[in-house]
Amino acid sequence: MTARFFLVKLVRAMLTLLLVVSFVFVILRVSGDPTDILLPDDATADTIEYYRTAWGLDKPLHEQYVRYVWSVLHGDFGISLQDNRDALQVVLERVPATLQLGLAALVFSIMLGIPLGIFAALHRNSMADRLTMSFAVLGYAMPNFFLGILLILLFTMSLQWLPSSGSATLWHMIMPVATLGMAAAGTLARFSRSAMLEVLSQSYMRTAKAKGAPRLRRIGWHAMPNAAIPVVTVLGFKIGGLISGALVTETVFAWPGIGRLLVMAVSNRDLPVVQAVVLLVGFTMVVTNLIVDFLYGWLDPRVRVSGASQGA
Amino acid sequence: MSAPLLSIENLTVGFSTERGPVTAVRGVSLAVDAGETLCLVGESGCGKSVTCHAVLGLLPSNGRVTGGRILFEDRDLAAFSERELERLRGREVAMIFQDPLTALNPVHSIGKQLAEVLILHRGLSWDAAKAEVKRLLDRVRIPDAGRRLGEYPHQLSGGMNQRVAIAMAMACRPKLIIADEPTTALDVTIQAQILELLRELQAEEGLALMLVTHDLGVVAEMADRVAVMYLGRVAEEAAVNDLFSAPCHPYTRGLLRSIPRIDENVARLATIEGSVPSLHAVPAGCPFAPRCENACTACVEHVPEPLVRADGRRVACFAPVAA
Repeated sequence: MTARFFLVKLVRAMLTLLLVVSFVFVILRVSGDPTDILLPDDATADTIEYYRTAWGLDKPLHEQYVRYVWSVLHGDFGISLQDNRDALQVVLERVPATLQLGLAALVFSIMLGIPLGIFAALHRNSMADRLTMSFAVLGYAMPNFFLGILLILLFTMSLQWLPSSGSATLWHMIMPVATLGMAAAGTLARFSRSAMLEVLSQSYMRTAKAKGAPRLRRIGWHAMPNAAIPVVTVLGFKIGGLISGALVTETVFAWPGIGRLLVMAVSNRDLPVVQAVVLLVGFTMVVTNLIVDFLYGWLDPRVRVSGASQGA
Repeated sequence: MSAPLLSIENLTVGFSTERGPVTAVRGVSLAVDAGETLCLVGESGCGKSVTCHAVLGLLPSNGRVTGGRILFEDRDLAAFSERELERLRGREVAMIFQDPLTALNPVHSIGKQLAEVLILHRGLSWDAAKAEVKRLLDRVRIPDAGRRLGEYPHQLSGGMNQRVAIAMAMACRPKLIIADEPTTALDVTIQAQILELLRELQAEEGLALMLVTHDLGVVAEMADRVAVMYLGRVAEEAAVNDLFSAPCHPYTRGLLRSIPRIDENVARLATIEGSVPSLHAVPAGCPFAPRCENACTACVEHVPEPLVRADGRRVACFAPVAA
């Protein structure tokens, strides 16, 4: 049963990826011809025709599509139109920088959001709760390009404490990580709070008290594992948000990751690179969702067992 | 005679609600002797559960004991600190709740949840606790206890979960168990089994039981003495046989009359006219006066104090039913 559960998830994941690839492929092809941008304005019709043939752009759309999917399946993502190198390699070079930023932002949002949410829940309706939640809403609602620029104005321009662009030192990470992680931290704080409040009102919490369990133990052993279930689900969605947020954040702070690469590749119509990035991002999201599904089963015995004994 | 194990004296419990403060329990006095079963009976909202929760300091955050004493072995639990209560709960006084499925934590195995009490109060190691848990599960007649240890509440039936809850309550051999409608959420056949189990364990351990119920069948089955509550007050308290054979308070009589009888063919079931007033609009005099057949002027104007009669019952009524 678990094997079938896994297989269904896997097939669904592959389908999602295929849809992503197809969608991007079509949108990019119909939205403009790369030769318009890559070749100088005074290029002759012959030159244009030459490159169109060389890049396979003269073939009908469906033929290009079949050829593209076929080569992607064989690990060939095409050649970057911008610098003539393997598109996948161009993208993979940028992955570590994005991974570093994304993971740091994820850790930042977890370490900030979840404790704040729990704190607010435990002090429900107090001043501390209201302050914490206002902060969370602010973090969640503020667009990250705006937050990024605010931080640069404050810490680079006025105070001159932190560098505003590049990724050379740890100091360079602070502002991009805060910018990227703030929205996720806000969401996590709100969800942790409501999940915790929900759990605290449950009957088993009263049982725990009636057993003589001290408050810290009731919160740590009885409440938190239950509250973690909805929070993990949200966390899965937030990882998707981090990736899209990386586009803006990397651009604002000139961070050399795939987000900035994608923005540049789109404006240059470097189709193979755009497709490789989108596929990679899609792949990451799909894998993340799979991990969340399994984490869910691990956290919640009800999911674990009913999944295994269904139809028994 | 020695002092009772638990003696509630003039207990008053208030709640702050969005519609203003309410007093859910108004001057309730009750006593439970070692080894005896006291049943608290009454309709929803009469304060029977609140009284029980107050004993262990389990009132929700908007509730507070505003008066009276709760003496357990001569210590006033109402004056206990949270730390002192933590040491008492589950060790000297344990509690069983209504719906066993929601009363157990869904993410921990029943073995771990049982072991927690032993580790908390008896300082057992996990391994020692595990052996003891198995013994406890055998004790509450859960078949195949060794395997059940690792199972979760949702894998067990309601009756089995309630057995687990009982095992949890028994784990530290408390002197008093408070059971808040322990069979209300269960099927009738399971109810009988659970009550039977409670009675057996009570006899073996000699523990006292304070049983909250609205089911007079349960009362007849279990109680030594019964306290009938109405709108935050004790209307009548008596030995179970006295109460059933000759109710004194008009409310008790009404309750008994409204039990359907299998040996009589009646067209309509007797009911008590009217409905229980809201806690926000408690009548000035006897709370039952507006619905009472015997009500007189005094009943509307004054609250009757509970009087102890020659046969040991306590009745709070100006115009009791003639015996």
